Amino acid sequence: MSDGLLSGALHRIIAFDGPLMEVIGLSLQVSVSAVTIASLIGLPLAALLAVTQASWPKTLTVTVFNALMGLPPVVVGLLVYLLLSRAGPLGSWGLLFTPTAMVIAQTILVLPLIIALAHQKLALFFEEYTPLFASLQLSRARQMRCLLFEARFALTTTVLAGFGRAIAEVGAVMMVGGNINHVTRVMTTTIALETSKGELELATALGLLLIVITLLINAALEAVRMLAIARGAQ
Amino acid sequence: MLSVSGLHYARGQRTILRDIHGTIQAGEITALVGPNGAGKSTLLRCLHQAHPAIACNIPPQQRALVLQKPIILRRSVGHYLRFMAPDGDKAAQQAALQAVQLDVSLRQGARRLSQGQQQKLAFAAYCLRRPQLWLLDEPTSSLDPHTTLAIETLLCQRRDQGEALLLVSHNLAQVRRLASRVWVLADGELVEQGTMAVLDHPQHAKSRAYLHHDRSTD
Repeated sequence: MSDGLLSGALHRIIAFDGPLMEVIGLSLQVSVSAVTIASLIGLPLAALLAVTQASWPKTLTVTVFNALMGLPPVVVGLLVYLLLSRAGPLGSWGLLFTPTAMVIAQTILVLPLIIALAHQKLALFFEEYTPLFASLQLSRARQMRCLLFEARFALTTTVLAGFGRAIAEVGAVMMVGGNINHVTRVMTTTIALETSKGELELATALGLLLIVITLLINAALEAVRMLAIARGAQ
Repeated sequence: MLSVSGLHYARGQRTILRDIHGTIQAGEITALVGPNGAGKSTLLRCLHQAHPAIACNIPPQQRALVLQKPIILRRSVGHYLRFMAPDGDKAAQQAALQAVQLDVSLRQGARRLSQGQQQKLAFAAYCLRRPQLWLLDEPTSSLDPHTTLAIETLLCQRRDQGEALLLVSHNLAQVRRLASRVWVLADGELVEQGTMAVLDHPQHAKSRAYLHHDRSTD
């Protein structure tokens, strides 16, 4: 990497370059929305799985979500594309090549990860608390609420892991967003496009910022872990 | 208050409890003794839940099952007490802590307490729920003598208030101090029950085997 390229990239970051900030803003907006929706659906579902007695439907559900953790992003992109394209069942909604389509794709991508990881953690908590729940004769809904609260620090790391997957994803958002300038262009798709054009300065600046965001996520994970230990919640 | 008639419990192919008959009276501490693996903890869990073989005028919500190692939630003392007894206000929580001689702040992390303090906290929580029947699974087995004495005092107070207590303990000295009746469980069968005389003059061979061996280590 030449000095000129690096200094140019840093200059763009320090100067809060307009196009750069626009792309980062949209990336964060899409990924935060997707992770929020996936968490609102996935965490209660994971808690329900945790408090449900062992049975073959439960085992099958858990196995499916575990397998879907490794879902290839382009397959998700293709699925959402087929759903939202004009000929697709939801084509009349006109969502293809919009940020909403990108949120849908990222939600589908992140949801199995959040359910599978959260279930693993909540199942351990449930095993520990089962005698207490039995002794208090709690309803299933109260058991779920209690588990989600008790595992709050552990679940934060799950949600942040989901965010890490969403923000770094390129295949699905490229397919359903179309990488349209000022509309659906996010960090990862911009890096791919600018690199293919040979415009390395913007790509480098975005790459550096993506690394910084990843580091910040890991720092947040560590801070959450330390806070949990300090409060005796781990 | 609670009578068991022909209680049978199996886990898979394995029978844990067979043909249990007995009665627990209000205002009494009944001790449940027997060797490890006899089914004492299972019996407590059965008595805690509704079961066709159990006739009890106390609803399951007013039966407290206290475990050897209390399960303490990852939250503050105040939040823990509120979870265990949602009706208890702050004053009631303070009073319950005072009753078990636990001098801690409501804002303190419950998991930060020592094991003895956690057991006292669990007792305070169950006191707030005002149970009529206490099912106690070796509640003092891992506590120091001072904390054990505090818990024993608390158990006597509950007895004097007319509540019924069934205490599992391997400590026969403690059983003699607290209980007025004794059940001996061996191999899933309630082989003997009666007054404290059972401890000194066991009739059944399995009772004798357990109690005479225990006396040597008492």
